[in-house]
Amino acid sequence: MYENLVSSFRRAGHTVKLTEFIYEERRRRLLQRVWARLEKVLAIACVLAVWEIIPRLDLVDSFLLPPFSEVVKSLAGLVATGELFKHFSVSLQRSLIGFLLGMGIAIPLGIFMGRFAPIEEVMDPLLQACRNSSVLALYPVFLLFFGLGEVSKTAIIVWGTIWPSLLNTISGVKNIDAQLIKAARSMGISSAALLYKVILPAALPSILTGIRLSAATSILVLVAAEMIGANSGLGFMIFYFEERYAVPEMYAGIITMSLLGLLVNYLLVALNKRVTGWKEKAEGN
Amino acid sequence: MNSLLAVTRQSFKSVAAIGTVLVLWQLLPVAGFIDARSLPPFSDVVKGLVKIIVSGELLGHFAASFHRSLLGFVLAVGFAIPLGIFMGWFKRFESIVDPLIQLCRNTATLALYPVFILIFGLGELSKIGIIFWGSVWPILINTIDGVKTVDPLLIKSARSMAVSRLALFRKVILPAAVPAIITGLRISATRSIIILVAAEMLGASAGLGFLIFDARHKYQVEKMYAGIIVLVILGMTINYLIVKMENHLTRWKAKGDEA
Repeated sequence: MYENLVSSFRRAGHTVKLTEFIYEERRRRLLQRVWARLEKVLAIACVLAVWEIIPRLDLVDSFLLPPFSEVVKSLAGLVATGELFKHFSVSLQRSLIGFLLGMGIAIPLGIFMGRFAPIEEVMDPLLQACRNSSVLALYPVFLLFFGLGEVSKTAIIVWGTIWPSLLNTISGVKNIDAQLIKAARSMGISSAALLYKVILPAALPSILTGIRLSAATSILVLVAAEMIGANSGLGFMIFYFEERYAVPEMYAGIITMSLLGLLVNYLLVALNKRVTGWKEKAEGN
Repeated sequence: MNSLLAVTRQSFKSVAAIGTVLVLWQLLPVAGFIDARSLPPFSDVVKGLVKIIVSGELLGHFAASFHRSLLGFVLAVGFAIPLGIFMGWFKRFESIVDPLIQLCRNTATLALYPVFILIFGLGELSKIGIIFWGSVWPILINTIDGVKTVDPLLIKSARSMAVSRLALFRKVILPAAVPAIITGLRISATRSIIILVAAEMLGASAGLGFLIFDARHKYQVEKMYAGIIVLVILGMTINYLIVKMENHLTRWKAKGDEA
């Protein structure tokens, strides 16, 4: 980048000072970044504007799709009464416990199975069968064993989140460049250090992909489980309002759910950037 | 002789784990370690499966589920792949629409199911609609990604040979994007079955999801497990078919690697 500046400085024939060039360049970049952000905000604003206008013009039945402002109003109402917070915290608790338990099982197990190829080979058909069976098909079984309470919901989330992470961890550990391991071993590394300094970092991108897939699955399963058999939680709330034709409140619940999904995704992307920082730096050099 | 041994060993490996689970499934309830009302022995479940196959009950539910998921999935493929290619090619358009797509993708699909019920009623349309909605996003995002990240060198070298736009598309961009598109298809296929089952449990009078849920309500546990087994087999079959398709579509690549 510096060379670019200098060459354009030279081309300009010394008529402008270098510092001014740098300022110019900075301003241009800032403007570009702001504009890129603005474009994205505008796209969403357009959708919201259409959402507001279409029902008001009676192009869509305003019973089925109330104007956005009314949805916001009912969202504010739900927040004010504390109802939203109650359901939100219940959902968050379920999905968080289920997700963390799932990760706590899947990642260590995946690393273990990735390191011991014979076990993995024998277990693979079973894992494939489990992964490809629809998670929710097993929900009635969980209900049978654990009853209608919290345990069955947490358990089905654990079950649903395990498989993507487990399979991605296994493939990440299995596909580590053998050279890396040999090189580390030739330097007399201990087993624990090999795990922490070589295997984990190398398998990390793949593990993170699995975690993201698991997070998406956990929210999908959470909503379904809450709709099918629960008396609290965001999924229950949305379905409850739909059955009572409280349409603006239903949309308010859906918006909350989307925001939760976006937040989870954003956090995982940030985590991804942070823990694979070493990789990007290495590529940048 | 050696290869025969290898084949036996391979097939032993592939059935050992599942076989163990099935044996345990048979023995644990019979020995009384697990309540047989919650988990009947595997042989009873097989009997239940045979019974609903013979009575034709299974076929009816299976056909209903198959019809819904196939229609929703095929519509999603037909919509998402062309749109994804278009958006991957026109990057400016993609960068504007991207936040919207992220929003849609990160919304839990089933949260929108009540909206679909409100708009399309409780019939087939709302179920096909929600499967379509759930399957569209993974395919769309992966297609965009696949087209966007085609090696520019490939495109430049094709252009330097004066390739026409259409041929560039058919012979360079599409083949290079196929692996990403297939990944999207696999994720979508898995999700479409999850959503199918949920939708059928929530409001349907036919389909495998309904069969399982209804059997649980009536405490016909064998029937419930039989339905689950059918769903597992269905899921594995679909996955197998997609893997086959991937191998078929990317056979040029494997050959290139070997050479």
